[in-house]
Amino acid sequence: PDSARAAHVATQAIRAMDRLVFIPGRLYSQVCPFWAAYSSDGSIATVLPWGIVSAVRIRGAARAALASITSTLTSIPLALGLIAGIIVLAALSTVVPQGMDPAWYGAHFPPLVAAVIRAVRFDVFFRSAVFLGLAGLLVLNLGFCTVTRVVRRAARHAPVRVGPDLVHLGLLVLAVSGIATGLGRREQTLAMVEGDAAGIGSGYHLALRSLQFLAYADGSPRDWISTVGITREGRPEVVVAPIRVNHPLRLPGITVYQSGWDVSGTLRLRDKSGAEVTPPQPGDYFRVGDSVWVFAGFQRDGTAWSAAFNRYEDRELVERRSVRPGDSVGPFTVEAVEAHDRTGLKVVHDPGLAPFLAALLLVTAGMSLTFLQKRRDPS
Amino acid sequence: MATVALVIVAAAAVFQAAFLLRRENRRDPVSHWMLAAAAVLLLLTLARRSLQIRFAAITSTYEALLFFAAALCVVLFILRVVRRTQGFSPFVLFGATVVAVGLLALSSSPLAPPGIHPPIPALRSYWLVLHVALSFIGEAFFVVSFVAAVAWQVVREEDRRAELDRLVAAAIGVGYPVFTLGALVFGAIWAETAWGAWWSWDPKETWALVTWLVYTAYLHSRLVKSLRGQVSSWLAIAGFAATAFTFLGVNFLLAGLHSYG
Ligand code: HEM
Repeated sequence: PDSARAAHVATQAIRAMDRLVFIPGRLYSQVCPFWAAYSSDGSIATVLPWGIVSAVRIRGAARAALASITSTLTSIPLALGLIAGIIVLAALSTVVPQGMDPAWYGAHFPPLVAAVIRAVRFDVFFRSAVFLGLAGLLVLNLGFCTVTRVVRRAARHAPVRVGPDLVHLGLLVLAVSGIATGLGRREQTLAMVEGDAAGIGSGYHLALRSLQFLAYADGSPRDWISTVGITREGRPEVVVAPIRVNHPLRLPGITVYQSGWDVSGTLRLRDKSGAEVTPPQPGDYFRVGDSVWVFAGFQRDGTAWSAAFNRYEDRELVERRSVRPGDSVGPFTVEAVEAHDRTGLKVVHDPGLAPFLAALLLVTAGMSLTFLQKRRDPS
Repeated sequence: MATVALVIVAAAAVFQAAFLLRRENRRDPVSHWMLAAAAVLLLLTLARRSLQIRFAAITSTYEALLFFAAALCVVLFILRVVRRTQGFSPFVLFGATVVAVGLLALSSSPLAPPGIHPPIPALRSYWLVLHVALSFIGEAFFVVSFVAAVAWQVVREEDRRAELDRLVAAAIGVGYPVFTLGALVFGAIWAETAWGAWWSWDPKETWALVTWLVYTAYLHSRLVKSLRGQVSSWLAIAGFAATAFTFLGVNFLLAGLHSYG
């Protein structure tokens, strides 16, 4: 009985999904009998464009030309050709490093190849006209296919597999989300120490209240947690929330991600005469006899901070030393180690996110349905 | 334990080969139980590692290889038990078992160091676990479709070809939605929560997309009469080549290319 019940529920779900696609198609064929008539004879898979063609009364050769264009745009061989083109070029793009300097390609490829790469923008393939053109045609192809199938089915009253239609619809929504992201995404990265504050767009103001660094027993990082207070223009309330890696803070209009972590600071040194020298940056070095001392950065030392130095002789690391105020390193004495944990927060406004999630849902639902329907009707 | 699993799977392959050589086209009665035993061992290995790092141990190449091999063994066991006819021939079982041997051999090579490390912060996400697990389960079905497509190319009799064709379609029919959900849907959700961008065209992502598109082409090639058969079968083979490259080629070859470039 349980399995019968499950089968019943599945059938109902499939029917409901079918309605979802069937009803708009049916409406369409009621409102526009002419287009539906074209689609119902099933000879040419053309619906929407034919409506336009007949509305503006195109006749003769122009009509025939349009017919051949629309039937081409609905064809599966075209889809296969476009997919094959994208496959080959996308695969090639992974062996041509993307986004390098134009001169780089000249130095790493034969002149002709480098010239082609630059001419067709293969250095930024996924933003190039070639890729966007192929993808755009595929989306057009997909749109024609989807609309044709839905309307044709409604006109014939034939319950066909609705799963693939949902998948195709989901992909169209995905294309919309891609466009929305491409046009409307704004992104900002903040490097903040405790107490810093900044405006982050959309009327929000973010203040970093505290920072926490969680480590595993071996000292490697486990998580970074930035606790922030957020206010919005004209609103009195303050939202206080922790932001962790993989747990972004989602607010209407923006999302804030924990994207990085480092230490910023100043190492104050005095030379033998007691004068303060320009504070070194990590990576700076000085020589003492045969040794080279490299300032490696700041280190947490219990609750205090120390500065790490590495000493090299003949390019070999011979000593690591961490120094605190009062210690000396080479000809210098450490006056102060002023360091702070610094968090990297990424603030993103992406109008494509909601349609993107909708697209994923549609594709997932559509594939599950396709699978169920195939199992019931393996033909 | 993983080494014991390798030995068991290799022994299963030898056993299957011995049966194949007798040319009776009969299934051997034990090798699928050996595969099941190997899968249990592999999953136990991963469970033990998970307890050690207190997180699902599926984040290193070594662990991924063990999981992939385990998933493949489970899929083969189920197919052997459930699918009594229709193309799941001793040859297909043998071919897929050889792939499992290859995966485990690779896991015990220096290319996949077995050290146990807790995951870096970005990897601590159950979206990632779903992403990796479902991708490999889908890919296990792709292995079956690959071997069946190779068999399709080899055999000449029409009935056997028809059976193999059905097996290829059935395996991709399961593998494709699972792979889509794992590799693309959960992968994109994880990337969004971890990095704030659901797609960034890095080589791994691009190759996952290429793989998915090859299988998409396979599904649609079956709707076109003139492409059904030869072309579909080659697409199923190409799909697996892309799968393997996405997993191994990108890790071992493209990384090298970039570091020398
Ligand atoms: C990236 C693009 C596309 C994807 C991912 C996609 C995906 C799918 C999927 C998953 C199915 C179900 C197949 C099965 O499991 O048997 C399907 C079926 C189908 N697709 Fe697509 N598709 C795409 C593009 C297209 C295009 C451009 C067309 C039209 C030219 C098209 C026409 C069809 C048709 C006619 C079916 C068969 C439906 C049925 O069995 O009732 N697809 N597609």
